Amino acid sequence: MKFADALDANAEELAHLESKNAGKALKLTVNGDIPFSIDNLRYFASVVRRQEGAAAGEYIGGYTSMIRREPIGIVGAITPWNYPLMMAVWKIAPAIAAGNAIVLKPAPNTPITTIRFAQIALESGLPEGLINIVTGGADVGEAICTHPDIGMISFTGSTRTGKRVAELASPMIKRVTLELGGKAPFVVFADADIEAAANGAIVGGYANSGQDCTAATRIYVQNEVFDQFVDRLTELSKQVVVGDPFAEDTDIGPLSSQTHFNKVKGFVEEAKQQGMQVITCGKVPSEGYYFPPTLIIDPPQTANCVCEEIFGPVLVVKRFSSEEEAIELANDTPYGLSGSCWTLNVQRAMRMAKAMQCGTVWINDHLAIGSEMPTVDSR
Amino acid sequence: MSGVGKDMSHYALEEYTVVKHVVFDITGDQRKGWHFTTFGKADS
Repeated sequence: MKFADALDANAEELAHLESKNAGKALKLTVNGDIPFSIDNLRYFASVVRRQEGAAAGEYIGGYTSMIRREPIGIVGAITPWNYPLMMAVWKIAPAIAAGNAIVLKPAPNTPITTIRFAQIALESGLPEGLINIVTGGADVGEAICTHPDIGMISFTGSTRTGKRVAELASPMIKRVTLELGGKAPFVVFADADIEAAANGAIVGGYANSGQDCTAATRIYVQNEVFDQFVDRLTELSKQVVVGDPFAEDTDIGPLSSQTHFNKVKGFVEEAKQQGMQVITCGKVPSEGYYFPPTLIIDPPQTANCVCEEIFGPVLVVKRFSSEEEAIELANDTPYGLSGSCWTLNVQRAMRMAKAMQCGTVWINDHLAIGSEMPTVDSR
Repeated sequence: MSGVGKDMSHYALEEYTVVKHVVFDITGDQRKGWHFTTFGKADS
């Protein structure tokens, strides 16, 4: 808690560093990344004091059996560039609360706030050697995954790298946590509140410039309200301000790097070349890796923009006719991180919550999370 | 290297189930208080 208080005292500095680090709009880091990271740390500091489990008892005659939860020892962690500090805290907080030391490698292009976080940990009295930040690229990651003293690897990032992490950790039978890609469905039924759904798509799809593994990326809309929804989504998308992360009116900042900008642009160019309807919404500064909110209308379900993780402010919007078809389309992906359903019919909402193959299902919202509930992969 | 995971007891069920987190909006608000972090102003 003393550490969390120290982070609170440095919250403004951390928010500015994170915006500089990752190109995020300052209003997101000030009101999202940093306070949520601190909340997460406080949560784990408190919940470790009230662990639950099987009661001690004489389950075997003549013996008392009990559960002790013990730390793994040293945990290795590798974090991504989209939420640099927040992802680091999601790993460091539970690891140290449970009594482990941690060795964490931040993404090569966004290490600043994680390093500052570790400095504040020392300043607030945490012992040296508890939180260890090692910067570098794939070679450092591989060294963490294969080190014999590290008993667990926690990774958040691409599916491709996640497979490599699992491959490296498996010969030593290390415990592995993998939080990988996503291609979240966002299913809008004709009986939904269309204005709420359109607002939800804007926030769910464009938060952090769409660089979010839980982002709403595949928007499925029932035929009866398709045109109405697309019109409103287009109108709102045009109002999203893309620009300097430190400007007061900026909603979303640039993409994280030139390489990533080119990747996102590639998906949109391909869609245009294949004759799909692409709506580019609003203007962006001419210098920098700024990408405008973009809608791809009714592409084939097999198109790359529907199947692959774009990780930018690009939404594909497709039609469906029945609930059965919506379920089929929503689940037609190898990803299973998150999704949402928009309807005012409570029975349908419950059916969709059950049928959607996602670790998190939101009903009439998208992206809302809290420290007390899990972010999980269902496949 | 003796392995990973648990057999027997209710802890074993963790190995054979997946957790699904379902979040229901109960406000009916078309625009949520936190939406301004991505779009528009806090008081709009």
